[in-house]
Amino acid sequence: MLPPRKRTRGSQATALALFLAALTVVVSTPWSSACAAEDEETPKASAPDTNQVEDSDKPKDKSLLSRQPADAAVAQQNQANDEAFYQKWQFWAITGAVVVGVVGIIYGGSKLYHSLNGGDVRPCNPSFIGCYGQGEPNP
Amino acid sequence: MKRFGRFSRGLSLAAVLLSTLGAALAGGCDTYHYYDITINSMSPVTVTETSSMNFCQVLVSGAASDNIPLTMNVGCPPVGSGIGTIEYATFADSGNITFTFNGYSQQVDPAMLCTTASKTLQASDTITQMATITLTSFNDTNCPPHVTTGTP
Repeated sequence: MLPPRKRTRGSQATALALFLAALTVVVSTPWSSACAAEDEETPKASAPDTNQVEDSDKPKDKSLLSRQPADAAVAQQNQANDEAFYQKWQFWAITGAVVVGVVGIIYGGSKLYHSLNGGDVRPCNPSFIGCYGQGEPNP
Repeated sequence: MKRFGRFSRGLSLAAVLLSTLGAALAGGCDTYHYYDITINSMSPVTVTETSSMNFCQVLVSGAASDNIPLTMNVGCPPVGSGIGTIEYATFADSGNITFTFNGYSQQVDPAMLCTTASKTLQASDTITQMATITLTSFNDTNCPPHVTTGTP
């Protein structure tokens, strides 16, 4: 019983090996039907499509494609317009100037007002028994 | 940018208005004028008599008005024939200014008035004017001398 069983398993293995070898040959052969099927599924991108690649409206002169200074200025202007007024340096420059001006006006105005109203009374002569009247510390 | 322009114009307008307000407030121009008034006594008023005055005052009337008290250690009681000099400052530059010296034995009371004298000056653009008030009479009834001896 054992020898016939061994022969049967060996023949089956041999047949399976032959089948796999044949299948490998069929699949790996470029002109085989399997490869032909795969080739047909490959995209046709290898063939260049001139309508999609080339832009007919694109100017040939590359200088026209480069960014012009006016474009940069416009872009900067747009960016500047987007800023709030307190984010502009001009705002702080004018505000600072106004603050300094107001302080100067108040200080100068008070000095001018004091001067126009007589200014400081002259010091009292120490040989006098007292100095009185307007601007004097004595009542 | 338009908002910023309006803001700038608003600040400029505020500064101009503030300047105008300051200039309006600064209107007018005053100059001090000084009147140096020297007060002394002369015969027949004696130092003994004037030394009995314990309260003196200088009244300013006319173009200026004031009441200047001269109390202890400030001219009254006098220590000599020369009571001293006071300087009076005023902005008045026109009209007459009269300085009247009154000496009292104790306080402002007509019954205690020892002596009085005055001087009238014409207020003008002159910065400093000097004048002398001389006491030439003394009421011994209102102000009896404290010391029986003295030299004029």
